[in-house]
Formats: sequence, structure tokens, C-alpha cells
Amino acid sequence: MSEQTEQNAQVEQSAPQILTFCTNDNAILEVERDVAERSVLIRHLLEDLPASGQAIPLQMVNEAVMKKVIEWCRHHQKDPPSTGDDDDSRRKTTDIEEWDQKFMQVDQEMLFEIILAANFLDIKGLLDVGCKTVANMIKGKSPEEIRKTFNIQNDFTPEEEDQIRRENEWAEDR
Amino acid sequence: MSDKISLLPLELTLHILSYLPFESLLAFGETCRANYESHTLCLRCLRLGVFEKRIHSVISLLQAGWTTPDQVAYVPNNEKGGGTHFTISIIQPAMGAVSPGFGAKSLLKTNAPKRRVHMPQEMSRTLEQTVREQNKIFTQVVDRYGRGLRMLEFMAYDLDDEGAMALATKCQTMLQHLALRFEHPHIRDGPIRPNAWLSPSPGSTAWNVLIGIGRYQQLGLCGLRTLIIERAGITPWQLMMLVKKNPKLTVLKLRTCRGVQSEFLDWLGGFTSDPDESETEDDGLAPGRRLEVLWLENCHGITIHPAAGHEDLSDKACDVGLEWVRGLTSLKSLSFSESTHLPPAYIDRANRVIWKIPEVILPYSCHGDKAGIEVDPSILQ
Repeated sequence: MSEQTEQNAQVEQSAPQILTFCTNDNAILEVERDVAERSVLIRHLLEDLPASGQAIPLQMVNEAVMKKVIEWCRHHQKDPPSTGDDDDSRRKTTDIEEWDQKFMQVDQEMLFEIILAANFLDIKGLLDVGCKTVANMIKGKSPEEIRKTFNIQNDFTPEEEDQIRRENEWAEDR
Repeated sequence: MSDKISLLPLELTLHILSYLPFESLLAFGETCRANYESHTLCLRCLRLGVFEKRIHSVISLLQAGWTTPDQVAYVPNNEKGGGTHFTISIIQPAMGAVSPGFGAKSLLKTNAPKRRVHMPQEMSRTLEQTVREQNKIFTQVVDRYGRGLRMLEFMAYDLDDEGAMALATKCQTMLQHLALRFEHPHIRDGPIRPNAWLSPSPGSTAWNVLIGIGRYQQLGLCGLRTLIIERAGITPWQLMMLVKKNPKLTVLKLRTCRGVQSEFLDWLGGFTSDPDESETEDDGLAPGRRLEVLWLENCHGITIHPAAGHEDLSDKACDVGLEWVRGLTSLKSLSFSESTHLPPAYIDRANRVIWKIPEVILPYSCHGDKAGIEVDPSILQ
């Protein structure tokens, strides 16, 4: 981590590239500008605002989640920026690289918070990893197992459930 | 603790579902009402084949270039917008074992076990029955997933009123790409005579429903950009209305369609031989001027003018009978493949001299002697 910061400092000696953020639980976090700019929202924010040195308020994110988000951005700092179209091919596979898998080993509360934060901050790579992680938790499970995993309340009547199950039969019979 | 998925905005739920194979998607839809709703919206691209026998399905799928001819194949696809893309092939249940719902199970064999004498005649359905069953299955799929679909391809024997109604109500504005493929000449043991595959089906009111004309005015497809119809009894007037209703249409591929006649084509190109009776739109432009691709394959009513003697025509008039092509000013690809009543040399000359379309596929036949070539042998030097 400190190595990276040093490198950045060498590359861009002119301006102090440290930004401060204020999360919705009033924590102040300091982040290198390069790291923070993995977020498209923040990048655009900085383009529009002149540097004031004041803490940037993040009303949608709390400290714990923001720390995770920063950790991910720092690890993926050197990734080529996503441009939208070209990563569609990557999109369809649910393979997740090892570091990201470990990173996503958090409780469900945190997992969904990270997804929401990635969506709000517009960090496509992190959003994809989060959604893939949830998809992998659904894959290969029966409806009952999925309900258990996510604590989903079954609000079908027995008749409705039976109807849908019958309609779905053709896909299960393989 | 409440369930986290239900708290996500719909777009994020759909993002998650876009990574799931079809079976998991169905299982997710079975968990609760809200999840059922979102699972019906996440199919963007669907290819559905409904056939009597697996082997029919396998061959048709391969011929159409639909990758895996597996029953439920999960196709990784680079489709723009990253929509979920599925190919599904359903085999109709054997006669006498018709199960309700779109639970048409993929039974390969009939329920009667080990019959010593094979009697396909007794067990087989009539064409009407087959088409009705196929459309029932199609309707159930479209009723469930139609609202989210951008691209839909359907393979069966024909479209009937029920199937057309499902399309016309569920896919009205969002559907951009539609292919209806009803030509499967490799199926030689079904209710359709082998040589009947290469002629259009009988006319049908189903097309009126699909287009939204007459008493179906509130319905009908209107957002299409691509339309592919293979083997259909659609009339020239129905084709005209279908194109009129879909102003964004740029790709039109018609194969073995009854309605591909000069009545429709002259209208499309804004051409009229009688100058007093202008068929163009109010602004004087041809209705088909936005078309970039127009394929008219295995259609034998393209022009009523006899093609004999076309070599003697002057350069200015060497496309006589096909003047409508001039009005299609955006055209990049034009095909007359297998429309064998047109002499290739005549089309070739008309394009070189007048149309100048980058890609023109000449009307040679792919079916050899079976198609009944009517080309004057003197042309094929």
C-alpha cells in the first residue's frame, strides 16, 4: 500500500493528491485521488468542483462500507478503466478472481451494502463482482434453498406455487 | 432480518439475474411473488423452437445458426447491452400424453412402450393440432417473458391467432428484433408434406392480430428494427401494414412469403406506373427508404413482367418490373436468392447500371432440380 502511494507521489509531485470524504456516520476518510477516481461519480464530481480541500460528503455510504470500497479500489487501481462495451464478454461469466473472492467473503448485510455503494459511486468492476457473488449464491439451488439463503418469505399460495412449478417442469426435465 | 434482495432496486436485481443459467433463473422465480416478477423481466433475447421430435429441433437450430442445440442452452453472448440471452427448444409431448401448462415435457418417445409395429400415422397429429399446440407453448412463454424481450426468434410450423395475440399484447413496443421461422424442409415425417415446405403457408388472420389492424387496432408490434419471416401466408396488404406500423424497421428478410408481390414492393419503393396515383408518403418519399437490408428469398411473385428479352432493354429502363428498388435509397444489401423466376443477368445489370447497391445476391437456386427452375437456359451461358 505504502509502495503504491510512493509511486503515485513520484509520478505526480505537483499537487497533493489526497482527498477527504465524510461518510454518513460522520467518519472522515482520506483517500488518494487516483484510488478514489475508480468511482465514476467521484471523478465527475472532481471535474465539476474546484479543489477546495473540504471533505466531500457521501450521504449514501457508511464508514465500514466505504473502507471496503476503498480497499477494493486500491487493489484494482491499476486495472484498465472500463469503457462499457468491451467488457460485455467478461460479463457473462461468473468466474471471480481469487483476490475478489476473498474480498467478498463478508456477511450478507455487508455484501449488499457494497453492491449498493458500488452502484451509487458508479464503480462498474466492483458492482459486477458483487452481483456475480450473489448470482453464485443462487446458482444450482432449489427454490427452497434460495429462500433459506436469502431469508425470502414465500408469499405464494400453495396453488400458485404448484402452477408455476408445473409450468417450469420442461426446464427441469433434462 | 428482512430479505436483502427485495430491497435492491430492480436494475440491480436484473444485473444479478443476468449471470444465472436458465434453471437457476426459474428456481429464483419460484421463491416469491416479487422475485417471480423480476425474473420475468430479465430475459432480453430469447430463441424458442417448438418441434415434434428432438432431431427436428436439432437440425433446425443448427441451420439457423443457433449455437447449442441443447434443450436449454445457456449462451454466453456479446450482445450489446449485456442482455440475458437464451436458446430454448421444447419438444412437444407425444399424442395422448398432452400435459397442461407449458409443461410440454421433452419426451422423446411416445408413452406407449414397446409397440411392435411402428404406426406413426395413427399417433401423429394433424397440422392444425400441431400448430395449435406449438402456439400454446409459445404463448405461455411470451405471456411470461414477453415484456422484457428485445429480441425474439420463434421456430415452429406456423403462427396462429393465439400466438399472434400474445406477441401483439406483450411485445408491443419493446421488441426490436423478431424472427418467425416456419420453413424446415428437413422434416419429412411430420404433418407437412416434404415439398410443401418450400411454398408459403395458407393466408391467416393471425397476421392482422400481429400487426394490429381491424378490431385489434390497440395492439400490434410497432418498435421493430429487424423482421425476419420464413414461410408465411402473409398477404401483400398485411406486409404493407406491418412495415407501415414499424417506422424504425431497417432490416427486412422475407423468405417464402406469399405477400412478396409487386403490389407490396411497388408500395415499398414508392413506385407507381400511373403518375396520377402517387403511392408515396406525404413528403414524397418511399415508405421503404430507411431499409438497409431487404432479402426476398424463394419468392416467386416478385414481378409479373416476363423477364424474356430483358437483354434488349435500354440502360435507362433495364430494371423494368423492379423500378421500386430505386426508391429504397438506404439499401446496402438486396437478395433475390432462390427467387428463380428472375434471371440473374437481368438483376446484375440493373444493379450495375441503375441501383448500385453494395451487396446484391443474385437469384440462383440452392435447391437444385427440386425447386423447379424456370430460368431460360440461354441466360446461363
